[in-house]
Amino acid sequence: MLETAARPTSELELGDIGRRKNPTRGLMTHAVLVIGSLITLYPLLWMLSASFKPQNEMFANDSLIPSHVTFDGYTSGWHGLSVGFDTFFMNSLVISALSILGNLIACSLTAFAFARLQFVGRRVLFGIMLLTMMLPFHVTLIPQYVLFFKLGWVNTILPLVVPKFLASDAFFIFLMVQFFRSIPFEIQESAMIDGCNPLQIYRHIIMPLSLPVMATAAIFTFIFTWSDFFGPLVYLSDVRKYTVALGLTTFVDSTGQSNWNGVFAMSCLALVPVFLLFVFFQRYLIEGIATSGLKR
Amino acid sequence: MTVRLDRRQFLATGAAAAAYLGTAGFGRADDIKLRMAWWGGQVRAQLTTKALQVYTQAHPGTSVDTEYLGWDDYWPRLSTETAGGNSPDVLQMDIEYLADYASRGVLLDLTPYVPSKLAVSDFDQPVLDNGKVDGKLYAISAGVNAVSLLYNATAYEEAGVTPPGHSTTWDEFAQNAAEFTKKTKRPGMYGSTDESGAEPVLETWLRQRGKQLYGTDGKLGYDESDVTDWFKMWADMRASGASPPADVQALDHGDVDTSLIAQGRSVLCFENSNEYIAFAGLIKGELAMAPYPKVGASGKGGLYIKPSQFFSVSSQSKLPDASVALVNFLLTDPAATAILGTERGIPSSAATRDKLRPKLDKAGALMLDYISSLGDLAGPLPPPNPPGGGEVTTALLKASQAVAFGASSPADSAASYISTAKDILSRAS
Amino acid sequence: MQSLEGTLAQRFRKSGAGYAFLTPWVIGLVGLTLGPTLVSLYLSFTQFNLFQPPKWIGAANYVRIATNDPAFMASMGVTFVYVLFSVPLKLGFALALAMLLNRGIRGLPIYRAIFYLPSLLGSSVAIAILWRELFAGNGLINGVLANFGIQGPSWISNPHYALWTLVVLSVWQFGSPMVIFLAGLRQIPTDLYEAASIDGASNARKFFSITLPLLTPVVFFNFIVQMIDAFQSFTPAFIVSSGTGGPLNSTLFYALYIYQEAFSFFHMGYAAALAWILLVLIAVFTAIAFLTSRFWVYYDA
Repeated sequence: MLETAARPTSELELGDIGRRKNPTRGLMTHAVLVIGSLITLYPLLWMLSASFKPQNEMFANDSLIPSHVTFDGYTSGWHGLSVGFDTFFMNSLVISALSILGNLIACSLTAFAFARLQFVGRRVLFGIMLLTMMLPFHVTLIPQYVLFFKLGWVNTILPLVVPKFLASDAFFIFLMVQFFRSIPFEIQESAMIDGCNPLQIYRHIIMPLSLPVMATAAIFTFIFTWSDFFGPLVYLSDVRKYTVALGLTTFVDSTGQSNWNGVFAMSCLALVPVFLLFVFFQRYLIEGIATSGLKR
Repeated sequence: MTVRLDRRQFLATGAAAAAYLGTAGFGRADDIKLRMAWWGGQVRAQLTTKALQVYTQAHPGTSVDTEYLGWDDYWPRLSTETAGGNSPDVLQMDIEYLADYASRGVLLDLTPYVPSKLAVSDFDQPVLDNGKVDGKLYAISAGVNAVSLLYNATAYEEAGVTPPGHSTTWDEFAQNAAEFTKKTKRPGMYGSTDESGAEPVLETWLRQRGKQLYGTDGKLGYDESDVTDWFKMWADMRASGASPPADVQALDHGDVDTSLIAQGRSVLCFENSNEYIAFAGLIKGELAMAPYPKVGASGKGGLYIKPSQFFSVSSQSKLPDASVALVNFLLTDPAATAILGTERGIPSSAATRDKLRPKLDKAGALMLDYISSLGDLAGPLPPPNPPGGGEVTTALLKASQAVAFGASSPADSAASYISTAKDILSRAS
Repeated sequence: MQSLEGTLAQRFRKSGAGYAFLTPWVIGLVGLTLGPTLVSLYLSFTQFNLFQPPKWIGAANYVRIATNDPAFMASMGVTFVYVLFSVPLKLGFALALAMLLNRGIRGLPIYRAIFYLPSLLGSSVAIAILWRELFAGNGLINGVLANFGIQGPSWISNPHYALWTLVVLSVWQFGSPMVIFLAGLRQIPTDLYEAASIDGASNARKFFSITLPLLTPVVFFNFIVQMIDAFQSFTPAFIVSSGTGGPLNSTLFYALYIYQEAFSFFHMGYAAALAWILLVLIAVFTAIAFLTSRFWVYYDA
């Protein structure tokens, strides 16, 4: 009962009812969740343990416990290449941060137009937007590469970041459209009657109500760009510009010696920022908005 | 807005390129910026970077931007860059793709640079020739290797079975392997792998029978009956327990980490000799080397000493002379060869080999001695693979899996493989 | 919603705001996307080996796809099975767990983070090795099954089962749609639930009458996105099969086939034709989904 004070209303209502009426239900739920968590976590625990195993146990030893713990993976991984992993982390961070900024701004503007404004050709343009999600990228890769090369953007982060500021990620436009459309129209209507222009509606009504979807979009953008591999592969040729995902693959050469310890150790480390970001933004998902309050 | 920028930028880039090309002929000694790309792991990255530092210190004003990746990722990036006109100046090349790149005009013809700018006259001639396409030299060997059996000597001792040697025949090999599978106490370990889908092993076997993979005309150098016999040989080995069943073999994707020997499922692997180091670190036991088995006791060995990889220069390079100079440094300069050692394979120059031998560690010495020990087991180099060769290699693997998984008989699969291969070759030319 | 009435000229004048907001997207579309897309369409009618200029060959690529390409048929089959099974399963788990987690369980943030972790891993070399360790003949799954006396096959290297390990991989990463479902559940006004409680509605009743209908825009979104994503799925198959699509083409996802043709075999024109076929296919399915959506998706507008 002590926890209920801190939590938003919806959790309180449903959780309380569940607990009061049927305590075993709560227990069952927990059991399911715990088992589910173990199954979900096992592969990751394996990876963590592999990062501490000596090389010749990598593939032969199945258990979660290494025969003796070694930190070689972490040291050799971090300093291993001619460029340290700290550079890779920095590069990845910059690209991801800029991508989040670009996506949040550009995609919300675009989604607002599709969801809440009327204009000629809205359906057609929406269809085109969806179509851009459907073309496999391997095929537009070469023409796009030539385009970026002519612009002089190759071997910079521009081909990776600028498209985000131009709302190239249709996934997020679509996501936000769905969310905006489920915000009750009456709010916008009363604002329009009061004489608000679209920009004001966007800034003061839609955006504040959309914190959950914006947080979601930020998390997803970070994850997609953090683990994005093909884009950096093609556009970041100089080793000093590599991202974490690219640096990881450099450890693995299928034709020769690979540093397996290093791969697993660095993969585990690479998970940390993403995980932390998720945990941080999670709060905005939790808080949610009680739209009922705003209606009155 | 973007469109206008596009045109302006394009013109600006074009003007800059024209200006540069105009002055390139005068060989500006200051600010030469080269780009070099290679595939390989951490060790190669460290060694190569070190060698490049020696070069840049000796040539102030020259810098080299490095671009390195693992094998799988190297090729999509290289082909994208090249297609876009942005290929690196110096690049590492492999025999598998040499014909594809050279015949399409994206590699620089190095013939005019030999021997004045490329001091490769003491390189083994057959090995040099291997870098030629249509008579022109496009790639220089960065190190040689030969195919070899890498086997776990410790496991053989434990099981009391004779390991393969320099005169083992295929029949003896099959027998010993079946015996090993029965006798070994290591769980799930087989005496051999199933190499029915591996082109290098097929090639060696064909050469032992007097055939070859490709003729000088670029057509297949073998036929259906050869392939049928080949598939049947391995089917027998699967039946006797010498080789593992299809679903165990399919775990092996041709990479070091997926190989059956690394997973403890096989006592040996059919590999290139320079991969010794990679495998030695992954098995529980002592790794040793032997040549492939022979068809008959007095038969040909079928192997050949081949370049493990090459260095090439891009025809798109704006600095061809500087690029060639860099390649020359890496392959012939004593400082560079001392650093690079045998990591890319055994040096192709006898003089370099002799200088290197005393400095090598146990693994390096083993690999070098293996190459020297081959004697006349090694024969002349085969003609190069034609364009489309890579696709044929994949087709062989699929055809062999059809037999192994019981989806098709050896004869049927052989027939469909040959017709697929012919189709691929005609499509690619 | 306000409707656009009047003559075309009047409607265009009223569209000003809409167009203004769309400016970044239009710039990106015309500048960065449209050109390459049209070029790829052109390439599909050519023979292009990447290094030499493309050679026009008319519809030959398409003819070959339709009549003489067993790998095409195989990869279509594999991809369809993958989409058919992975999408509903993934969404089902995502929704079930989102509902469960939305209930005020103790330790909610921890559970949410745990279930999301697999999606964070994305698809990497580490995953490929992991999956092999789990699903190989002597892997962990078979170890567990052995305790029940079941002798499992080598799932990941057997052409009958390999694809299913990839379905499992996809479903394991249900965290992404789950988070979206959670965000959607958050936006359902709580006073609706309060009112229903006062009226004495059961939890099941609340789910079917309030939650599910109001969640349909999100369900629709997740469905479309997961379906498109599954059709284009590349990385899992690439890393688990090391780019081979094997054994016996059983993991040859369509996108992987396109990649092979383009980068391994230098048939870029053919790859472009394959890609456009996929585009049309996905567009058709998406259009069907949109057309039928009016019968079950409920927007509060």
